Amino acid sequence: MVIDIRNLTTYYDSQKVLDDISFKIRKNRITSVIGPSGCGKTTLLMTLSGLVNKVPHFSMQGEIEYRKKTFTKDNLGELIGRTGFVFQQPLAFPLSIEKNMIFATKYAGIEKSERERIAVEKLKEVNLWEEVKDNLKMKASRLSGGQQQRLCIARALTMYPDVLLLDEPCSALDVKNTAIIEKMLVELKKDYTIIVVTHNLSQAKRISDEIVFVNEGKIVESGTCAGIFNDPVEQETKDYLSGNFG
Amino acid sequence: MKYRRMLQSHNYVRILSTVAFLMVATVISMIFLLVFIKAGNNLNLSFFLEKPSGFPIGSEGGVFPAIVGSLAFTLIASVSASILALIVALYLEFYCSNERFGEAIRVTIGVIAGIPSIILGLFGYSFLVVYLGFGISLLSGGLVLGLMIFPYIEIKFERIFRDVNEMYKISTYALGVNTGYYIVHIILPVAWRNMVSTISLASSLAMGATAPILLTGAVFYAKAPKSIFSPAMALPLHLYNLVGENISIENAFATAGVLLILLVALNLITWSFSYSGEGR
Repeated sequence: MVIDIRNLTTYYDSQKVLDDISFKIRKNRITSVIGPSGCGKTTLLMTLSGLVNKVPHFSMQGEIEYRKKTFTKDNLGELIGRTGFVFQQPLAFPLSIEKNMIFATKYAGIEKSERERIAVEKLKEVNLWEEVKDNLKMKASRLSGGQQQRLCIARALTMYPDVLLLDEPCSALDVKNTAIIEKMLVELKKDYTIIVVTHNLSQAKRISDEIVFVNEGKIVESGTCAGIFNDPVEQETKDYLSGNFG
Repeated sequence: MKYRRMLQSHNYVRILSTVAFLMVATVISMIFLLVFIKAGNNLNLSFFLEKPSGFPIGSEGGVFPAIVGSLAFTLIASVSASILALIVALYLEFYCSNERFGEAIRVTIGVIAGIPSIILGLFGYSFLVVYLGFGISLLSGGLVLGLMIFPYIEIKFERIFRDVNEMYKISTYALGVNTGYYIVHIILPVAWRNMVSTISLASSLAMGATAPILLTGAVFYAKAPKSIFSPAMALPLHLYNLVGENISIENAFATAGVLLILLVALNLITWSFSYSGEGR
């Protein structure tokens, strides 16, 4: 177990977004959080990354245990940067590929040669090295959407997080690039614990080991991928999976 | 039917845009034509390089000290206003967590923008010239001009920073990076071209202003300034004197021509600088 979420309730102003959520994330698994739009999936991911601390009017109750340390509303900000976070839009920084890759390690004060070694290592992990090794000085914005998303994943890995959080990482990509990212995520899970927020049920079925189904801020059901998709217990889950809502 | 209506409205917009462009282009062309025709042969190289002479002074010679003075006033104004505007805009956009305090600062900046420039000049005279003892000098005049263009630069800077994709910010935070690092490595490299254009436009405004330097830095006649504590001539005031004292209308138009040439040159240099290399 890498992350243990206990009785997590979150608010934006007085509006409740997540409602008393508790579940565990297991090591070196891909856990997909599924659910209809606006159910709180992204808020959950943002809370696990600590980034909600930067959002005005956010508040929370409950606690998150990560690497044997407990985080509450008082120290949630300390979570920022401990996990890798990849956003929906492939958004390379307006810098060269190389500068994207050393962005965080340079800030962390890591030596130049070590920064370069990490950059190459992570580009190889996301299967991007062969495609960009001769053009590292090129503007990252000139890469294709799929390549930019892999660059973003590689960039997130440069700080050696053991958990990678991805918010609908393929929603802006075509079928070919989606397949590349999915294959890469399955390869990455041997080294990282991966949490993916997705509304794409087929994708969740293809890549996930565990599924958490969230609706209206509550966990309706969670379990193994096969269990949830083949034999859901709750009627709400059955309705969602069969496309009756969402 | 709906499509035809859309097409018609599109054509109206196109016609209105063309008319607006033609009106602006006509007015600008008329200004330039009038100035350069009236200046006639007086606007030549020696007019740029010589100091004013004759009796009354300015009836002969050129405007070299006024060119140097105007450029120096503009430089001091641009540097002081840009530094202050950068600090304030960065604070308001990235660090100010108290919304009411931020709004109070913005309202104050709006008020400064609305103060008549002659009142800014009067303030500069009382505070910089007399109280701080800077005297009638380039520094006093430049700082008052800086105060005049500061609101324009600050408001534009804020808008430029806001236009940078917000997702960059959250993406950099996700990497554990702080706001200062984000500003230096993402915001400024993305925004600097627009910032330079803004400073250039504001500098043009400063170069043509008369009232703020009338009481603080500009004088009827002086040699090219040797330090920031020297008083200096300025093109707009020189022009005003040539016309107001009925010294030489031709030289007044020639002075206006010099001012226009400097403004166009300033804008062209900034434009080529801002849009060179990677383009927009």
